Amino acid sequence: MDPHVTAAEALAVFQRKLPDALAAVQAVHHPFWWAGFDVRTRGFFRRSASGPGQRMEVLVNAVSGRGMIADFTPCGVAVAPEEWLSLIGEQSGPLPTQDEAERTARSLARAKVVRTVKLGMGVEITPTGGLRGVLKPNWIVSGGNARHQATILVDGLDGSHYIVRVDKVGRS
Amino acid sequence: MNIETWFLVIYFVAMAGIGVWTLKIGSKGSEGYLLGGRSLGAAVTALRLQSSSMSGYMFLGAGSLAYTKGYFSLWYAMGDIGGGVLNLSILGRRMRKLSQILGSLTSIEYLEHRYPSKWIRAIAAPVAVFCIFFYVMSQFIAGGRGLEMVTGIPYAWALLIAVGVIVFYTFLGGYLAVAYTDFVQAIIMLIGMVWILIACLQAVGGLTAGNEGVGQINPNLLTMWGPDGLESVQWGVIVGAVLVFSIGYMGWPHVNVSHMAMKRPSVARRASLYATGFNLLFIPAPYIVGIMALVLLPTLDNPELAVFEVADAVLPDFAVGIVMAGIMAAIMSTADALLLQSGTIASQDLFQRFYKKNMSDQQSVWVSRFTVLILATIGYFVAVNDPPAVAEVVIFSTTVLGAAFVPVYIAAAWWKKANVPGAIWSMIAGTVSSVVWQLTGLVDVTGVDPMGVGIVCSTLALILVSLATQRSHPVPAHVLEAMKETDKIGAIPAHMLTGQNDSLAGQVPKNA
Repeated sequence: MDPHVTAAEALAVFQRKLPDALAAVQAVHHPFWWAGFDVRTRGFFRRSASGPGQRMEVLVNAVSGRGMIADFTPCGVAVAPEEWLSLIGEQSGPLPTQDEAERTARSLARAKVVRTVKLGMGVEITPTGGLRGVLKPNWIVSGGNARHQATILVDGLDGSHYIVRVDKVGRS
Repeated sequence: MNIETWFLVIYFVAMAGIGVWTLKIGSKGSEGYLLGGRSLGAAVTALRLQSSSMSGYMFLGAGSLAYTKGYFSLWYAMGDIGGGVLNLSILGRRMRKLSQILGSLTSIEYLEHRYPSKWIRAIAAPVAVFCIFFYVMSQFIAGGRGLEMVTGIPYAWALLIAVGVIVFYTFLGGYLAVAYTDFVQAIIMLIGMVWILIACLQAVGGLTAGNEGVGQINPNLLTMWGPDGLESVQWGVIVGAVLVFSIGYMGWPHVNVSHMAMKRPSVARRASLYATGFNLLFIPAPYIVGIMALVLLPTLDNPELAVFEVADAVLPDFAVGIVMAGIMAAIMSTADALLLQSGTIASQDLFQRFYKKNMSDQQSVWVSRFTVLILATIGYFVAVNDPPAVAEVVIFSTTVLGAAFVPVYIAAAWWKKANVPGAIWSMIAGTVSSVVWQLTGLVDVTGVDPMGVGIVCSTLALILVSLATQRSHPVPAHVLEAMKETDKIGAIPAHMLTGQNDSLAGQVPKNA
């Protein structure tokens, strides 16, 4: 998948956390499953949904099994399946199966819609194709300023960040 | 129809109107409406939490406790006031982070992910539905009693109307409507309750004069030791009274799920401030009104109606109507949220997990609908034939939920050695001990509250069984890793954590 956040923007995220920091930015990828759904809703007293429905994209982390709803359609350059599988192979602990990932994507889509419309409304969620493996882009930014050395992961899609480690710089 | 009834009818029609309107908008498939992300602020989050967790009890149970036990009832109020802060402080941040890393969507699913075994869900889900049913029933009774008093129609019919309106609203209401009406309802509750309190204190000639009046009835009612004085005080019951609502909250699945939905830890901190502010203003009021009702209405047949009757006696007719609408709003928001929660547990945590994994979306929704209808029907028949006291039902269900779940939720976030057998035996020991203690009347014999007994049993079971089975059932490596991530937050400077997205923890490359 193509990143929505550039390396310079990732560096800016880092520098907002650590002002005046010098840092190196490295592109990394994480394996995800991508599922698309067509969501249609109808009133309590109607038999079928009217209108074209709406498209819903769900990404499921292929390692943790956690899903998220994407407000975009993933696009990018196709890579060899081996690359996706090699990233999966690096992980320890139980990995979600394809079935589980599909169920997670579906229940997330359903939870999102049902939570919105509650029990009175009919919901039809139709998969628009099977699961596809995608490599989600992220940025690893490492560096520091006079007080701290840090490594953070910046989400390549929305620019949110996660602090991997922070060390205080020792005083001599 | 009197003016109070008119206000109620207008309120019911308005709520149903919002539901139908929401449904109509949803049917049009507006993407922004259906799938648009929402981010409720700390004030809305806190007030929704409070309004949907204490309504029916506060207007009937609290007044009844105060009317019969005087200032002794404030032990419950003390626990209630601190409950929100305690829950957000102990569980809030950690549960939010851990659930994100483990990828849990519901609070019971979170337990299963932290203690990976299908038995966790198989035990937790029925216990939760069982207790939620009792809590919903108390809201039905509260709604029925309120309607009966305001409209004068017989209790059976009033209850039927209350249950019907609640179920109708559950089916037709929209999420956005519910989210913001809960917030509005919390404000109406607060204004209504404070209005009753002020009018009540004016009617008795001020707090001092009111207390003097109560002292003339029974001086012991002015003490914190109960109507029979210090000699007969049961310390175990007092400890239990404080525990029930202070730490009992931490065992409520529908409350804990809100931790998982928080956007940032800072929301938890701010929300706890708002919750405490609301609690300090709102919670003491029904207890004080209940105590002052002893002076204003010394011959009440049903102490549960103390707050309603005082409102009727001291407020002008139009104000009674507005306050009653607020009270009914609060009752409905609680019942509605709990009914939906039980429907979700039945369809997602029980039916889909154990019976039909590939259940379609429509089947899932129908399971939820049937669950809501079945619970409403059973609740109606139990409530109409032999209605128990609202305070008793609420305290019972909170006690069982607390005894069953508080240790496993706390240990899930804080204790790395808590494992599957420990969690299973903790939930069983907590549920069985608290139910048996309550039903066999051991409370009166021993003077020890079932909450205290249940918590001790479930905590001991969790610790002893977990330690004894560490070798045979070690905590899985990925769970330990997730807990380590959850611990780590303390060492990082606060300014760097602002806005951190914890769900990215699972995407850090091994060599980073």
